[in-house]
Amino acid sequence: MPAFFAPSVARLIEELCKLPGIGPKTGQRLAMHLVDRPREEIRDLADALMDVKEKVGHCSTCRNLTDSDPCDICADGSRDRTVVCVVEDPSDVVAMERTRQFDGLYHVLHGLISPMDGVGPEQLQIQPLLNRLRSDESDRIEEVILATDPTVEGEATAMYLGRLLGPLGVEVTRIARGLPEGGNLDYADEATLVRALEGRRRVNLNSERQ
Amino acid sequence: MYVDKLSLRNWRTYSELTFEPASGLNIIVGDNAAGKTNLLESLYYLAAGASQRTSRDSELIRWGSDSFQIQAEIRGTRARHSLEFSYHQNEGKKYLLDGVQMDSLREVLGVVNAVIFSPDDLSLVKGAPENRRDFLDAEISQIDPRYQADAVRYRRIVRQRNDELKRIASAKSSKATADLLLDPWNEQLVKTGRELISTRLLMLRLWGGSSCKSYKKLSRGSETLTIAYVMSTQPKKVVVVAGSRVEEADGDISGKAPGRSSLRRRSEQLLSASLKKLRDDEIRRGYTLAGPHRDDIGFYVNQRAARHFASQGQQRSVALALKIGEVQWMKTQTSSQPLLLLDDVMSELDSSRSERLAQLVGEDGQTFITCTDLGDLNIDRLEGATLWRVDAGEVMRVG
Ligand SMILES: Nc1ncnc2c1ncn2[C@@H]1O[C@H](COP(=O)(O)OP(=O)(O)OP(=O)(O)O)[C@@H](O)[C@H]1O
Ligand SMILES: [Mg+2]
Ligand SMILES: [Zn+2]
Repeated sequence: MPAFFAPSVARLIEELCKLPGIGPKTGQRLAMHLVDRPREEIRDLADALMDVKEKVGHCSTCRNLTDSDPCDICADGSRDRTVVCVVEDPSDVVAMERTRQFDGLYHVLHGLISPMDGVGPEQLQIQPLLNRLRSDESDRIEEVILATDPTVEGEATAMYLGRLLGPLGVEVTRIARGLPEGGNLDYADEATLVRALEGRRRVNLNSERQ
Repeated sequence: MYVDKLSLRNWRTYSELTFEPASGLNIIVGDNAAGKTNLLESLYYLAAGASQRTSRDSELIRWGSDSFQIQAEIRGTRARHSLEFSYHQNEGKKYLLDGVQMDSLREVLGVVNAVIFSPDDLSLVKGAPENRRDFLDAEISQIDPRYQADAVRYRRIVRQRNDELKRIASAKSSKATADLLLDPWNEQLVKTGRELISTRLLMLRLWGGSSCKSYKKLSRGSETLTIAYVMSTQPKKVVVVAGSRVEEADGDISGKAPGRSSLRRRSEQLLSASLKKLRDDEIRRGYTLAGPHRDDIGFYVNQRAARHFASQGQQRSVALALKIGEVQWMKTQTSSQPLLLLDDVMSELDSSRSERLAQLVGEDGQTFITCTDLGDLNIDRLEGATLWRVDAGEVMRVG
C-alpha cells in the first residue's frame, strides 16, 4: 500500500479505506484533507465518532438505533400502538417518517433473508418481534405491515414473516403498489411511499392461498 | 427498412469504403480473409451498437488508426435517417442521428434492426440446451423489457434458493422448518417462472410457424420441421409449438391461439407439482432441478430429433429456418423489415438448397449473403440479386 507515506498517515489511510465506498484513491484524498484541518476540528470529529459508539444502541422494543431506550418513537404516547411497520433497516424508518402518513410503531429487522450472503431468519431481529406480539401489554398489536423492499430478498422476507405471523391471530399486510420492482425503499420519493402504504395487501397464509 | 448507403472509415480491413447495396438480395463473394465478415459486422453494429464477435470496440479499429466511423443512410417505412457510430481510442463511443449527437445508445437502437447468422449459430441446433435458452432469453429481452426484468429476477431467485437448499441440508432442519424456509423461494420461483415459460411459448409459436414454412421450402417440400418446447418439469414430454406432431408430444399449441392466462396456469401447475415431487432430491443435491432455467427447445426433422439424427446440411437448414423465422417475428414486433445478414451459409448446402435459400430470402427485405465462391449457384436464375466482389478493402459490383 502507501509505502511512501509517514507511518501515521499510512495508518489513517488504511482505516479510512475500511469504510464502505472508500477506495485507496479516495482514502488518500480524505487523509490529506484531514491532515490539513485545524486541531479543534479534528478533535470534534474524533469526539463525534466516540460519542456515537458510546451512546447509540438498539431500542430494546423496536431494535431501531437510538441514544435512549426506549427510543423516541416507542416512547411517544400519542402514536398508534396497535400497528407495527416492519422494515429492513433504520434508514427505512427515516424514509417512512418523512411521509408523515404513518403514526404507528416500527420494527427494524437489520437485514433481509439472503442465503447467498449467509443470512437466515436467525440473523435478523425476528425473535424480538415475536416477543412483542406475544406480550400482554394493554395496547395489543392488531396489524403488522410488512414494508420490506420489493426485491427478491425483500419479498422472501415478507413471505416468511407472513407465514410465521399468520397463526398468531394478528392481521399481516404487505405494502405493494407504487414501489418499482428491484427498487430500494430508502430511495423512493414520498409520494411513491404514500401510495405503497395505501395499497398494502394481506399476506396471511390462510387468506391468500386458498 | 433499407440501408441505401454505407460508409466506413478505419473499420477492420477497410480504410475508406463507400458501399451502396441493392434493396433486395446482395451476394458478396470474396476469398478467405478478404473482409466479408467485417462488412456484415459493420451492418450488424448499426443495429446493436456492438459487434457480434467481440465486446471490445478497440478491436474494430483498423490497425494503426485510433478511431473508426460507420455512417449509413437508412430508408424506413416513413422516414429517412442518417445514422453514425464512431469510436475513438481516448474519447469513446459517439452516436449521431441525423447529425445530432445522442446521449445514450438506447435512443439510436431500433433505427436499424438486423438478424445475423454466423457459422457459430449452428450451436443452436447442435449445441447444449444452454445455447438455446440464452438465445431465447436474449431475443425476447430485446423487445420485451418486462421479460428481461423477470429473467434477471428469476436467476437471482434460483441462486438464493440453491443456497437455501444447501443451508437446509447442512443444518439438518426438520421438515416443518425446511418448508418454512423454502416456501418464500418456491412461491417466487413459480410466480416469476410461469411468466418466463408462458412468454417463451407464445414467442416460439409466433416465430416457429414461419420457420417451419421456410424449412419446408428449403427442402423443396420433402422434409418437415417441428419445433417444440421441452419443460424440465416433465422431461419426457414436449409441447409442440410449430410443425407436425411428434411422438413425445404432450400438448400442441401450434396453429391455436392459447391465451397467456391458460399457458400461465398450466406452467404454474407443472412448476408447483415438480417442486413438491423433487423437494427431497433438491435438498440432497443443493440445486433447483426443474424450471425455465433447465428448459430447452427441441427441433425435429421428419419427426426425429435434429440434434441427434439430422445431417450437417439439415442442421444448417434448421438454423437458417430459425433465423428466417426471426426476421418475420421481428417484422411483426417492430413493424419494420429487418436486415438479414447471412455469413458463409452456403458452404454445407447443396446447390438446390442454396438456390432455394437465395430465392426465399430474396422475397422481401434487404439481405446480405457472403460466400467464397458461387459454386453451383446459378446467378442468372436469381431474379433481382446483385453480385459484389470484396478484395483489398474494396467492394465492387460485378453483376
Ligand atoms: N482491426 C483490424 N484491422 C485490420 N485488419 C483486421 C482487423 N481485424 C481483423 N482484420 C483482418 O481481417 C481479416 C478477416 O476478415 P474477415 O473475417 O472479414 O474475412 P472473410 O472475408 O470473412 O474471410 P472468410 O472467408 O475466411 O470467413 C483477417 O485476415 C484479419 O487480419
Ligand atoms: Mg468470414
Ligand atoms: Zn423503539
